[in-house]
Amino acid sequence: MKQRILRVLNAAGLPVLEPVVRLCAGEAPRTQLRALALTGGVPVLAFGIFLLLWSGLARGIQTKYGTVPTPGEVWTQAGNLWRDHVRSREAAAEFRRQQEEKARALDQAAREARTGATAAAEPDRGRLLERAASLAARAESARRARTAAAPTYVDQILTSLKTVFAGFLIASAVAVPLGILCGLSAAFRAALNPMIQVFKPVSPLAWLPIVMIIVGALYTTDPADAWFEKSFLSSAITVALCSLWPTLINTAHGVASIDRNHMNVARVLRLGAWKRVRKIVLPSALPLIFTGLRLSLGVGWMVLIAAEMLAQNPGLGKFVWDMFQNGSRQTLAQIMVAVFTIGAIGFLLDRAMILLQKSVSYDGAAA
Amino acid sequence: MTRCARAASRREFLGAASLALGGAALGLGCDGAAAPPAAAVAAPGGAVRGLDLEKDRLKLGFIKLTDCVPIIVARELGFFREEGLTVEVEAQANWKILLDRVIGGELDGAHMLAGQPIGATIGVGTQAPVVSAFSMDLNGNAITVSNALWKRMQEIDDRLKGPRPRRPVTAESLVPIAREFKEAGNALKMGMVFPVSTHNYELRYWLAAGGVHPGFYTPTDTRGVDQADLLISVTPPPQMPATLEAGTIHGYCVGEPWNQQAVFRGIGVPVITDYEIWKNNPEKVFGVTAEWAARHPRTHVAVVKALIRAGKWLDASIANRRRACEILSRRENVGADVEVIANSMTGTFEYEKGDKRELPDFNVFFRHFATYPYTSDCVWTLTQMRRWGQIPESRPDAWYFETARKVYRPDVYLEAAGELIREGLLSADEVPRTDGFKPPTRDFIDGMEYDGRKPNAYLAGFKIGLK
Amino acid sequence: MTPARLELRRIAKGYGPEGRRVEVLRDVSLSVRQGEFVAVVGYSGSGKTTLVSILAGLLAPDAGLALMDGCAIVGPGPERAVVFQDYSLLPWMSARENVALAVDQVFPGWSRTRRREHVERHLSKVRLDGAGDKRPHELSGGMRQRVAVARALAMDPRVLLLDEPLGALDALTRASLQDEIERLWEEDRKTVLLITNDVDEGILLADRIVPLGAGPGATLGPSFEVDIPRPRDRKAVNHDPRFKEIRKAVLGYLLGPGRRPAPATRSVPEPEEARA
Repeated sequence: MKQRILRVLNAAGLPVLEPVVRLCAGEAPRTQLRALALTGGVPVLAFGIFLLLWSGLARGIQTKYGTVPTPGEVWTQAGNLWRDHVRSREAAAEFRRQQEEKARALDQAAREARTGATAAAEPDRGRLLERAASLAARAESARRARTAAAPTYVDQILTSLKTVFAGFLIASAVAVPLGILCGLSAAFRAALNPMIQVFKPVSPLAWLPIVMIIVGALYTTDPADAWFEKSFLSSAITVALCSLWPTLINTAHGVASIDRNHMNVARVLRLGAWKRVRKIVLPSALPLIFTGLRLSLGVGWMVLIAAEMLAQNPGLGKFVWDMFQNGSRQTLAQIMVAVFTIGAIGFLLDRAMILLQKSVSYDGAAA
Repeated sequence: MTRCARAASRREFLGAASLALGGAALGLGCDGAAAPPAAAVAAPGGAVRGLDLEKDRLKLGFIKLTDCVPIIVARELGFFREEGLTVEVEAQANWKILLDRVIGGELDGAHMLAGQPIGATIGVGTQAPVVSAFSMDLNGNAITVSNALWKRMQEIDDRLKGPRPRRPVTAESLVPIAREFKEAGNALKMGMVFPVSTHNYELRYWLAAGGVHPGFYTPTDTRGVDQADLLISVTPPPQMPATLEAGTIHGYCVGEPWNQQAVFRGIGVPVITDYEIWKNNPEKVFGVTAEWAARHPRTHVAVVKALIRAGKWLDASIANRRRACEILSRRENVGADVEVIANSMTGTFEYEKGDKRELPDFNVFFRHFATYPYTSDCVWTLTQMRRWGQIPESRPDAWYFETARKVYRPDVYLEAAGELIREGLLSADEVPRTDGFKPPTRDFIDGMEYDGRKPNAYLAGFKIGLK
Repeated sequence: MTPARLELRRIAKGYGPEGRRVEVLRDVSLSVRQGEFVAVVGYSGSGKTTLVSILAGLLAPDAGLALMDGCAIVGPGPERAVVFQDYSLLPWMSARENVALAVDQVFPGWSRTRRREHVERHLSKVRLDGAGDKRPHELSGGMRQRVAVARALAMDPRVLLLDEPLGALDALTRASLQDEIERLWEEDRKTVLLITNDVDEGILLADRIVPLGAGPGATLGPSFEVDIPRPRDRKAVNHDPRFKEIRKAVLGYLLGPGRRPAPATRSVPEPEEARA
């Protein structure tokens, strides 16, 4: 039983909780407590000291924009943002409910009109049928109506997550195949390497205007029917452009540094090129590919915030810029809430990638 | 009770209930309106208005400046909803992005600088035909300088000394200062928000009136500093206080709340408001692309109707203004602290800490026919564009009038106003009877007379400026 | 006369750029008959792996010819199965999948059931029936090597090349695996070339031992027939006079003439059948 729990914890990437389990099982309490103190107690203590220092210094630093917010103020703002979100959702639910009522009333009226039509004679009948049709159509619109409330903080977090995943998928779809080709063919690598070196260091803020212009020119579907907003595409593409390099380089490296002996096995068996890639190259390079993917996701998350500020994608980046533009007393605290949120999400994304990597590696290791 | 009356009372109940929340309220047409998407709306008074809207869900952009308030108020108080519109408002990062997104179609329309539709139509900056049928406000800007610069100005000009200096403050004291800075190798720098902004033109007007040459735009010099005594550059409003403090710029011309922010934080001194530069000058407009206007004529009229009502409400009383300040201080709107916003929106303006003056017309949203898109206002902006070289060659008067007619759409305004009059929400004397040209006026800081019908003659009269 | 199953004629191979070339093999000639079990015994680093790689077709010689059944060897293939020193099992595949990879590649025309049977048969041949689903990192060194042997045999090769297959194992596992190899060879009597640094191993398993001199420029010494009848008794190694004779002869060559790199003008050696 204990072993099973321990195995699950390890697979889930939470070996820190191991001492807890062992403690509960009554195993060598002193060793466990010491382990707990190290992995759990010390960080908590350090964070506590950080909070104290922050509180102390915050009062002392006076800027023209007010004092630096204390942890308490940041917490209050976080609470405000959450409450706004809850209220907005309640309002939206209320609105939906009312629209439903309205729709039902309209449907009822439509039904009455129709029954009236069957009883009536021309030309009344025609008129009533027309009326019934328009009432039914309005009922339909009422049912489909959505509020036009501003996105809440949670909405913005979700938008950011959706955008970073879109960018990450685009980046992976481009980087992994290119990386494989670079790793397999020296000619390809020689051809691509200069371009990789030149484009890798470019900042997202330099890509963004170009991407926005191109997206603006090429994505000409009517905004009313478009699946994606231009701001979403611009942000996702910029994220992709900046974050594809770690995956590309790591994939190329992983593919190029396949164990000579594994290649010899492929040669002795005379595996065809495609089979070689599928059965030998890819699985062998998978750990490095996943390392690349993990790095890319991290870079992408950082780049996203910057991109959103300018591309007007309604996510966390826009939140930070909008709050900055407000210039109110709560601005600094609100921006700090965003900072912590961004950090926490970045951490969770990284953990998720580690989990993913562990689950596909053949010996449970995460490179 | 007739079927129609039953429907009407049901309408009233539903209408009243849903007014409390954002959203489109759809009602029933008593006379069986035609095919969808028709939306007849129940107003609080129970009267039924029928409007065929091409599009009932809109996204409008704004910049976090207090004069976006007609759009925000129209939304908050339900004026849009009563026209059958569901309107989402989204703050934009800066003027350029706002204009690009309107042109690109992501925004249906936006709070724009009066110069933006004009500049876009004639090709200064991004080129695309943009029109405006509604003037959002008059006045509302001020020029703020750093504490250091103000002190220097006071040293040179005695009239500026003392706790309550003589106003309006001219730029004359800047002539020697600009020369000093230039000789020291570090030119005097001032910021404004956008090349085709009223702030740019007002700042230059004020400087030129005082004898300081603000610089020309030439085909090769897009920064506009040719022959300048000082350097004027574009700075985003939220960064203005910071750059002022850092000394990167020594002054700026911007809308509210950024001038009052400088006062509250003690980093700068607003020296003059644009009301004192030109009494009742055009400031912001509501802009849409010409294509959008052509495809959505009824929707356009509906939007303008709601905005006119918002303007009227804003100028109706100080209490309304105060309520507007509270609405604006929400973080998704302008977000600045309520006191800062109220300092300029409720009839006063604080020039320096302690020097608060009565200035009821600092923001004008409806009085003096502020909402009507006057052709002469458009022509004035064009003349200033020519004066500073954004229009590279001199043009005949007819060109000015023709361009103005392309950009300003008083026809849409009059249609909207007419409907409001019919609905009893506007009185006939609140709509100007005009051919688009205001009478000639001398209400400028330098006393020059502006007659909208004679733009080239006007230009010829300036000492500093292209003709 | 049918051509030898495997033949090397005056093979030379070196590494490195011009001017700093290291000659690993020089003037190597060898002939292996069908069904013969030949052991090449030599020092570490003397080029034994190079020799096997050339025979396998993984490397091309600088000079000389490598032939199988009279035809030049131009590349690797499953007819010359190789068991590498470090097993070369694909770590992301189970033991069964590793063998199946070879079977699927070599017998694409077979039905899936037939192929599966073939795989299972070879796994049980090396006595790994129960461990088919384990990944290499879950298997011991000896088990991994057995999987490698199963994979090689499952290809139904004409020649089996064993490159120091037991070098990485401890003495006891080595002993048991040597017995396995003997047993498996007895079943099919394939042509086997075993590379080893253990003379005793060569004597225990092979029909003929050929010593490889020390490098650089190593070359093969005279062959030594191992005419001890099979099955050979491991325990008798230290007592049987014939064992001792052969061992003395082989070691004598390796520690004597084979120790010094031969002079460059050495004449063509005939594969001598020396009787010690």
